[in-house]
Amino acid sequence: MITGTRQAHPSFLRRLVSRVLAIERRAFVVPEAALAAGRGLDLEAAGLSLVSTPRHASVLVVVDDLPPDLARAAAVVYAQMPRPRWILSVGTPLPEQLPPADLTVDAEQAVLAEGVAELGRLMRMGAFGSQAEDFVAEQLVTRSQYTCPMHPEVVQDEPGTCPKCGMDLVPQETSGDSGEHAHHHGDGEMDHQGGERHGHGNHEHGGDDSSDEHEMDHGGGMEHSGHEGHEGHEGHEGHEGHEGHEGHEGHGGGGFMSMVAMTRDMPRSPDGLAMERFEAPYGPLYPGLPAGLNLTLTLDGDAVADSRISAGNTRIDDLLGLPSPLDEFADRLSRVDRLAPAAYRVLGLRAIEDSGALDRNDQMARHSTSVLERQRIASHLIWLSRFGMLLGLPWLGTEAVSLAARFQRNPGALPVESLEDLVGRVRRTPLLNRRLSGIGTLSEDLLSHATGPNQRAGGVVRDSRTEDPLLADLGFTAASHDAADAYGRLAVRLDEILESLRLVRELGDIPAPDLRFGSPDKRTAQATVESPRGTASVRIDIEQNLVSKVSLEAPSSAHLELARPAIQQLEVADALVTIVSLDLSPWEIGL
Amino acid sequence: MSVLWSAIFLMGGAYVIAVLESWFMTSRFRWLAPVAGLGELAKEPVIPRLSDRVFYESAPLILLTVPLLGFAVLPLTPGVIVTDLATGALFLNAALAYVLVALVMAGWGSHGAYAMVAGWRFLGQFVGYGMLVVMPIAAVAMRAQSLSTTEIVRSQEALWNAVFQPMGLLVFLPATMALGFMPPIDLPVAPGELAGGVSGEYTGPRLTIFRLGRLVLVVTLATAVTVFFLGGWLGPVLPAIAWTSIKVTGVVALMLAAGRYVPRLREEQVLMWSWKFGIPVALANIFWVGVILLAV
Amino acid sequence: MGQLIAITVFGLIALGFGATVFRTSSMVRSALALLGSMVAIGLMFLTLEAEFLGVLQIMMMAGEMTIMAIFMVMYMMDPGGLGQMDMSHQKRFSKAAGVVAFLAAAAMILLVDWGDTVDEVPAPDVQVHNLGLELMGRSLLIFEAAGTSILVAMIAATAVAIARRE
Repeated sequence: MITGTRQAHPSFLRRLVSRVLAIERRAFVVPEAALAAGRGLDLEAAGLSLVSTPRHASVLVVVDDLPPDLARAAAVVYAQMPRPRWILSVGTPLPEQLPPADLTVDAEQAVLAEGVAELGRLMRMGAFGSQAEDFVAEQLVTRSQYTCPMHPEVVQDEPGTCPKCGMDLVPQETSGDSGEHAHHHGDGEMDHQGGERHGHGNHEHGGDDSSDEHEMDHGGGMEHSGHEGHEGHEGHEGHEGHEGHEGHEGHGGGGFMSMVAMTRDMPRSPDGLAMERFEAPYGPLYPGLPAGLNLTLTLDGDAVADSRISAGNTRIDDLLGLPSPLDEFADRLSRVDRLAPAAYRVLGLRAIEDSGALDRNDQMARHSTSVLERQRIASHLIWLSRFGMLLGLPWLGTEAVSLAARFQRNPGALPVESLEDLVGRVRRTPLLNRRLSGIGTLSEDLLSHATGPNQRAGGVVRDSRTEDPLLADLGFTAASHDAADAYGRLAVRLDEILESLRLVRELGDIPAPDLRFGSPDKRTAQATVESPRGTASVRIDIEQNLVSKVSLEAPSSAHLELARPAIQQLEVADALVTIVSLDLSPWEIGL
Repeated sequence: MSVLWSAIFLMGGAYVIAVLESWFMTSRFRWLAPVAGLGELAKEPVIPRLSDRVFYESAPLILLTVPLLGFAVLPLTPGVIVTDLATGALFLNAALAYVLVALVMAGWGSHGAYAMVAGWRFLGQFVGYGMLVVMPIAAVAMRAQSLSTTEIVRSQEALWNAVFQPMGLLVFLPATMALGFMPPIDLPVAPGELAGGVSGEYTGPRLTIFRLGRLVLVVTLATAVTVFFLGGWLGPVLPAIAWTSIKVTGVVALMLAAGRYVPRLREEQVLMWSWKFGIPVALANIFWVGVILLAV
Repeated sequence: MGQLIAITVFGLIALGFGATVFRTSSMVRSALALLGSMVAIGLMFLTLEAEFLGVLQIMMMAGEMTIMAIFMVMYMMDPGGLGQMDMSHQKRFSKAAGVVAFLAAAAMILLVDWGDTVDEVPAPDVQVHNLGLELMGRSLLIFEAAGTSILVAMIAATAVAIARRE
């Protein structure tokens, strides 16, 4: 056999196949490709082909450091990739959950391109190696335990009878950290499905179930007894209960179970039909959604019957390392949101300015405005790329992210023509209006809780930039649209790209001012910026020239709350379009 | 001999389509793109746990076999056809109906939420395109007064069906794209929405077969469009096989261009346009062809 | 002789798939097993040189059985069959009905006068031609009646579904 390439002698045919494998370096990127673009890296230009499922990937590319929850999810991704597989680390140390990287490169485009070429060499050489080590993601290991149906506190590793009531114990599966995933098993409405369709792990990829049976005997720790049949589920009351109907629903002829009786207590769709439901987990590393966003859709057919959406679990104090010196505060704050670091830096500087520890001057105002508008362009481009991928416009996905990376790499040169061209092509895309109009419309009520482009799309223009005298001089007008749907949000962001581009060009090249920090004359200070996602504001408390307390109001926190009502009863694709169109940044949520 | 020529045409077609598809999708022209796909053979075949083994294993094989059978009744030149059935056009239909079965089996058998949604989505898509594949073929067969594909090409000697019954082509072309799950009507694979969709759980040799099956399917569909509407091998000066190749490549390029520039349609739109626009047009086409045949 | 062997084999395959329909509790397996059975019957038609009928049978069943599968998945409890629910009911009645239906079908086969066998099977294109004339002639009324009743049933079903929503 030439397939299933592990621990095999590299014969001629096998060498040939590995050479072919190395032609295309199919990569799954964690946390996400957008973060690489934010650091000026264009992964596709460097020679990687990005894929949307770990099953089709050969290379795991780590482009930014992973917080613990994402590191665990990345380990699952790695475990799901079929071997042979490689890890490419781009200028970041790998978390302990992952095996060591096969190749580490610096986060620079030229170095990355060389690294990818080197990776190709590794792939040619290493597809069939004699040293093959197994990798088991900890939370994927399932164990079989035996428990009593009547006394759930009785749990043991061996089959037997219950010491309390003498019933036979039934097997159940637990995963490595079962506590976190208990809801997968305990969900009342899910019992009916007999465990058919839900995953166990903390997958960014639903359904593909945690531990796979590999055809080859690789001696891994993944195969355990008790996989077959999910007996654990049968024991639940669900089915017992249905048999109970027989008694009083008897239609003669030997206990005919009426469908009406059986589905009586099941949740209903709006059309009044009771249908099977199942869960589809999206995130935290689902390509196309912002990394770190946990979205679980409970689907009723392909309509979203219910959803859980969450992000972030870091405390801002830990993230910023409070108390923080005044002169470092802005830099530390910029690390909060990886999708808009420059906007947060400006926010931090303005807060310090407000405290009086930093003198206001014209050059600083102009510089920070310019930085902010550049950030807006880059952020909208990255959003556009994500949106393009989701809509099935791969050219948009590729070109927008590549433009964003070029823009980050070389902030001096504005790619004016490419940007205008890109915006024009998106506007001319046929059927785009029909695809997006009416999708994820925010009601008046919800709209008042939104901010930024999401709000302006509905015609409610609240933009803190309109009060800025500097921008007023430049003739700034806030973009707006008349429909609070996905198309409106796209239209507003496209307009904003062009408007920001105009502002940046009019402001011209402004050298970064020297920052001289004095001592503050206020105990508390606050600042507001219009970040790419909406109005972000911060309040800081200062004690003895140190920032001791920070409270942050980030636009994505508000938008996260809008997402759930907005996707109710939408088709899966429309639900995803809605969520992506809201442009959530998981990094600024839950702080 | 016919078998050999058909096989060569099929392989060449699959190669060209793979190159074109990679070009249209990634904006990069790579001669080696189809070869690179074979690298998947080096990957480990993973079987999702709790998968339905029978469905999971047979789906890629069905997806490969079915378009091969369909291709067997399509003439490339007057003499080159694997088997010239008297019911060729119907047989092609019958074979292609099993693409649906293969994808539903793959989706259900994979034991994954995304794959399952993707498989059933294709069924929804089928409800849209199903009639639009059959009805234009009926009108084409009416003109040829035969279900034999060779006869259908001969019937177009005076005038291609594309001109004789343009309404038929108008609905048949998108319907074949839906049948071959090509963008923008690629709901069952939907990159970006369902993480690989029906093929998302396949790796290694099975994935290779799945992709190969899809390529062969596209060749078969493009050849079918050529045979039914573009006069198959007919054309001046150049040899017959050259005309077939040119037309098939043109059809494929047209389909891929639509996929590149049009965003993915929504399930709802596919169904609405199929039934509210497609079916009336297809019926009008049958009526039109009937009237012309009786009156002229 | 070859024809007899082929038709026996396909017949057994059809029976085998038919049995599978009842042996599995997964709705999708059950529906697709029925499809397998129908395809085997289509192949029997082909073996009997009824090309058009065979191909038609194979074509029509693909879509129909798959659509049936999704309806079964939507409305049945435990569509995957993993909960090991007992899907059978009214067993005694079903057995009796099955036996009666089998006897009736067998009696039909044996008692009906099928007419003379033709010496030579007409060519496939002649078959298509003859079938067309049959459909437009003697059987026209039957087919039109069947078509109209299906249409009425579809409209009625839609109307019922809409009414329930109010």
